[in-house]
Amino acid sequence: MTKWPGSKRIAVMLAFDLDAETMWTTRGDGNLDHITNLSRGVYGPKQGVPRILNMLDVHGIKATFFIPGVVAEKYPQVVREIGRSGHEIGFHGYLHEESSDTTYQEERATMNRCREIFERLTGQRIVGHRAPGGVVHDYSLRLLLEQGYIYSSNWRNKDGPFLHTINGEEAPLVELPKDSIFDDTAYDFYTDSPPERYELKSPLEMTEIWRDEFDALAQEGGMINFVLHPQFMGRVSRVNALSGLIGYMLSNGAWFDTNKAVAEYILKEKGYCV
Amino acid sequence: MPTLLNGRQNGENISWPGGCRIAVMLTFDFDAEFLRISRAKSKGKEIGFGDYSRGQYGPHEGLRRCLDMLELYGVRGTFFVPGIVAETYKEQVKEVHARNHEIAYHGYMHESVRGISKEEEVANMEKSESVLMEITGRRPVGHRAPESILHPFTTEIMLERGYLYGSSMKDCDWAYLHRLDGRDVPLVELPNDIMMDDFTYYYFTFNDPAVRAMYSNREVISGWLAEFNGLAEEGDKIFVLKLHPQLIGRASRVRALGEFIAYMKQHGGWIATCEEVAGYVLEWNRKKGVQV
Repeated sequence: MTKWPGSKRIAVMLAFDLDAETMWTTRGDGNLDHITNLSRGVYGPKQGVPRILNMLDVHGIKATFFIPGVVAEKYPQVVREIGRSGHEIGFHGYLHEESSDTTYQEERATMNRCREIFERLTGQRIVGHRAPGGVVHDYSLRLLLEQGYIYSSNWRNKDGPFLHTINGEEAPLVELPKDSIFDDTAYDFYTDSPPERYELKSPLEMTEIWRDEFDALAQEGGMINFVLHPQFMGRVSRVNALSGLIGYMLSNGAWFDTNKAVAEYILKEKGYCV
Repeated sequence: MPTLLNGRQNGENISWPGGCRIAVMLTFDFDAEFLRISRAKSKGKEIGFGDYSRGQYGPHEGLRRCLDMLELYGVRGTFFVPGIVAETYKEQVKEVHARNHEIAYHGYMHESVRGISKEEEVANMEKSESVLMEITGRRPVGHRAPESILHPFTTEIMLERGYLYGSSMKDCDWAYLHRLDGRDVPLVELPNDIMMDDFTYYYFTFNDPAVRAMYSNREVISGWLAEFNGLAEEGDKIFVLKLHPQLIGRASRVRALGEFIAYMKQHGGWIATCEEVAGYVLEWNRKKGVQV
């Protein structure tokens, strides 16, 4: 159980993975010539983000957007608007790279490249990491610390948060875990292109599962870190369902903030200077 | 007009005729058995008797129900018909036309292979257009790619062949003008999504090895209803239902769809053919000063 600020019962982080077309170019046969599958990726920055930003403003909530560098280069105005609206931007690869063979040097170069892209577009310094495709390397934690990151959102083994240990010693690197139960693609990523994903759930079923889990976690003083994809989650029926759920969570003791804000709070609680 | 991509603008602020809140298009991909044949083919397989017969449920049973239901609620639909379906089920397609629905292009054999040549696709279009013209007396103005497989040259040949609209993209919820060589062109896109496609919920086969879930009408319609309500509230959106007579055409599903149509009529839906909506969108853009 974590003691949250202001006697809140639970920390809730709305985190969006703005993968756009990389969702499709990194799966199956690449989809590079599948114009309409790519157009499903475009739906994220083009239609999903405006709807999501407007909804977040209604509630006055700040969220985290994990964005591949190439998406920022293709949609600079969208990324500027996300930053201008006060939301956090986190690392999510350059091309949404999912290879487990990436070397330390390659990964460091990718992180430097992305840091420059986002600093130039938004003035923000990236301090958080969510691995594309959930692929974490044996050197990842060390690299995150070297890059000045304060949190990772990749582990799935606990409801979190916790501090990582590197070489047997506690490090000022907070883990803000996630799980498929709070990942919209487990419910709304349908495709008939190989590898096929069937079984589309209705917005109502999805948010019912989230509300049940929220209730039980709040009772334990836990946290939730969402994994939401604007290209699917950005459909109006899902944004409206999420908005209704946010209202419910607000009236039931949720502390909504960015991954960065929650990580800073945890570090302070543990006696680290932030 | 450049595409809206600034992270904030959520549509083009179009107003629909008669104070309607949303343009609703009831579209039917009348593929019969060729849906399943071309799907299997694109995966290097063939279908067996079961899937032939499932596909023929469309022309033999589902279509009639859909047409009667549309008449009952006094609305017009848009039927995307592959050329070979118009040849094989000529009487049925004539009936669709006679009952005042729009008939539009959907491939010749429901071809769904990426990487074909421009010449090959033009040949498909020529063949299909002439078959459809025999029935309707005019060239089709609407295009939907089988299995949403568009080619890099599709926009160009649609323009060359006098099409008014395409309905295959999935990039937003508003109707927009296509662009070619950096300029707006008089070709409207009416995007759709897998959530409003009955295939997502009702396609079932032992071929492939697909076998998929069954959904209740309540699950399907409640999703569509939430989407319709949200889009109607935004005021400048379109709602394209993508249906297949062989899937939606079962008795209880057509009934549920009919009641949903009645709801949309009552709640600000402008229910029209794709041609009507595309024509309206093109005119609206011209009045706004877009040079096309």
